[in-house]
Amino acid sequence: MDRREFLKATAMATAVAAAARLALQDDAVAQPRVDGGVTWDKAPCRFCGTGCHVQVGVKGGRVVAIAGDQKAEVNKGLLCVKGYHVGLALYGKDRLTRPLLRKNGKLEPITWDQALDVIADRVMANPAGFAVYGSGQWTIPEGYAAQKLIKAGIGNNQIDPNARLCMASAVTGYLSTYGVDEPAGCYDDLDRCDVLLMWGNNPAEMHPVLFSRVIDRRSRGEQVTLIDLTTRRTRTSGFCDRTMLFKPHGDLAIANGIAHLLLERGTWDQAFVDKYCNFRKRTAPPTLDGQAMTADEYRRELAAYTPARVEELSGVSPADLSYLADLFGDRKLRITSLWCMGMNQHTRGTAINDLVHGVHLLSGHFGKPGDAPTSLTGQPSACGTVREVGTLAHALPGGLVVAKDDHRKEAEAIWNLPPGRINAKPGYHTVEMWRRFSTAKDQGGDIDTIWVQVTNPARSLPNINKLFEPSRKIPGKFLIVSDVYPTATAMAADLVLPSAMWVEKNGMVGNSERRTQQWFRMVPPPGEARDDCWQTIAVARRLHDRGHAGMKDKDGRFLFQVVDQAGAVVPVWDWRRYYDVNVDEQLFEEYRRFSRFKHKDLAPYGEYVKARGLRWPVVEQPDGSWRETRFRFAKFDDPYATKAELQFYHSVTKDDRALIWFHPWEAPPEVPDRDYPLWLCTGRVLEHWHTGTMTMRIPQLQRAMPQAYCEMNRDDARALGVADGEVVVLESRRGKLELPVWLGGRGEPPAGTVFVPFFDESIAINVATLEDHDPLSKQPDYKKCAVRVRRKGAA
Amino acid sequence: MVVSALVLTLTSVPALRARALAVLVADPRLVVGEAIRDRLPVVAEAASAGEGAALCDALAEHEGVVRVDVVAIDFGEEA
Repeated sequence: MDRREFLKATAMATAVAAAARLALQDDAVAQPRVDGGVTWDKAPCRFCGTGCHVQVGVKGGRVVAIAGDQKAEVNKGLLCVKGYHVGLALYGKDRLTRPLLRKNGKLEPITWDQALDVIADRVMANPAGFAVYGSGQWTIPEGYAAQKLIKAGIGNNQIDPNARLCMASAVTGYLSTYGVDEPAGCYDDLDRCDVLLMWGNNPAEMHPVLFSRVIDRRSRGEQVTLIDLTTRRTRTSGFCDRTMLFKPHGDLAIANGIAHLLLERGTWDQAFVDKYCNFRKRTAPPTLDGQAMTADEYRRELAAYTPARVEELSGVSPADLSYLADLFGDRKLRITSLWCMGMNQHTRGTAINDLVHGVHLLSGHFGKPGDAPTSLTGQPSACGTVREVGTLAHALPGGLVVAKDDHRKEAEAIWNLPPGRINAKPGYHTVEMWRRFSTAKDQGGDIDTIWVQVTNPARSLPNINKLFEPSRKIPGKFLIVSDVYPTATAMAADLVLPSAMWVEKNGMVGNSERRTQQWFRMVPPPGEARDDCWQTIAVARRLHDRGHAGMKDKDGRFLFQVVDQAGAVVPVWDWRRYYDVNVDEQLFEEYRRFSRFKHKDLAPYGEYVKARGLRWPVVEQPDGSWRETRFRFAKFDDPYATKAELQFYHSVTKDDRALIWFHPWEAPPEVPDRDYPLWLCTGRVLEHWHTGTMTMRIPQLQRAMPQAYCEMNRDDARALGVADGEVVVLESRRGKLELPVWLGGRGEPPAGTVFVPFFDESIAINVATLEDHDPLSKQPDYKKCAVRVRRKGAA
Repeated sequence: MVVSALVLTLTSVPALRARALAVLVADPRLVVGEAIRDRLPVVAEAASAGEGAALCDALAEHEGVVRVDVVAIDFGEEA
């Protein structure tokens, strides 16, 4: 058999296995294993927060093939176009392979030893001004190490992640409603719901494998009603039974309108609410706790949200609003709500999250499989690393926070720190961190060094002309970037560190449905590229050796002490020794001690080696096995819900009840006017991952979607005299850029709206966006600001 | 050469299904496996990834084919 025949035979075996799995719902199908010199092993996909598992084929130290993992519950052997090209993300021609230091304006190679000294010099010179800016693409151990370096070691709490920009409002929504973060439900809801309601969400492009689970049900003849609430028609709209276009920011009015009709018609679930809920309204200034209100007060507040008023605010017709209220008023149906950036990247992000939870609670559509409000996450470990490890400026691992005395004590005990080591003052959230980095020290810019890992803020921050670019011109500001490619951020940095990526290192991540996943290193990184986790530990050790007191625990041991099976210390800060032991495992075993505080229990590392992920809380059974939890707070599945059929055991009001909030609709901070007459919405596309630093280097994906564009309504284009493909100038009050127009493209924005994706580093749409953010989550709004468009060359 | 493993979901309408199968079996770029209920395992071979993607799109347009899922792709010779 020649190679070609062998490849085809292997592919057929894979296709048959996948077909059997899909046709028979058969878990016991064979996996591709060691064959023809190709070794296969499991890993979660590198890209989005869905958490698909892939089988990675390795030969000769290179990834040569990718297959969907038949054993993975999440994707059942399927992958999206990004997923089956994920292996090529390692092999862009311009991988960073050596540390680079800017000298006389140019980045020049230096040794790792010199690079570590440069970072140590910056910390020792001004520890208070040193910050780490991380990512929802950090692995769990990477994020945990960075968290510990800053919170337990340097002690200034200056760490925040790019996930602040993608899901912080979902966090505050869960915290304010249930008292604890992350969804109660899981992807199984998609297999059980009768109605799938998508709030400003385009899963056909952004979470295609999850969306295909629902479409697959239809192809089997099941009845599933799909409803698209959206500000522009997308690929998702094409699959939906109803698409309801709403005005930007109108989602709050819609949610209030549904609640109003439920109350007015008497179709709300009073028994459910009486048993499991309290009502809440906001305070000034707003807090996650708010203040109590009665059911009558709640009804009175909602009285203004009549169908006519909702139509005025949102554009959704009374008939459509009535249809939604009818669905929620029908107790026989099972309704799943999905959302992602549309609700989270919102200056009222916490409020709209609260309101959608509230509609489900008010109507009793909660706590049964298929009946759930469920946020989706954009990054592979925004949940696992950011929300659970707590790599946010105010947080500690396991849902603890720095501002609470007892929480700091718990963390100090686990980290074996002297009492009082952890700083009680939160660091700066993302927008504030970068604002201060882009402000001169004598004008309040007290952050002078930022170490960026696994993200590209030069393209992903909002209003980059204000938050990023000034820092590159202010003397004394120093930017360190760990990355795999010369991204826009790396090319603007003062020090660049080459990183290992994905299966070039061990890793663990946590997906949107509380599923923790693990993989092993399969191929070596190129050149001198090294794990981000090693980089953090090596810097900590350099600081330790220079006498930084924070790098020792209360017994004088190094903060990241790692031992072998005999208990001997392994100097893992020496790269040659880093893989002598499994550092990931040791960090994870330490971290998982935190997971008990908020009933987010994690199993031992070894359980994740065996599984395609496990959903927390993962609780040990009498027979020594470990059982995952699909439906939180529900007695039939969650071992911590013991008192009633539903028990919100971290309730804000300490009475095991969830909160139904009232939040009024309010105008957004910027609306189109005579000078800037169009709404701008930004977002993603199927083929590319975030700012495109990986997917734009995969030829197949780059060819499929080579460049960003301005999606316009045909009537608007006609009025401006703009033709399809013509280059236009798009301008907001904050910046402008040139890009081609796409008419009749993938999406259809309504008149008065344009859409621009952000995957293209050469077309930096975030020069135009707003840094205005939600008052609680601090998440900026990338989905609406005012812009104007003109033909290039026109005045 | 790019080899892809596909699963095609076929319609339940017997005549359309038979016609789709006949067309697929006759396509020299494809190796067609045995259908498992409505799912048909197929191996597609193309000169480049671009051609492979175009082939998948074309398969999805066939009468009698409800959906095409790509479950594996070997890019060893392209990488």
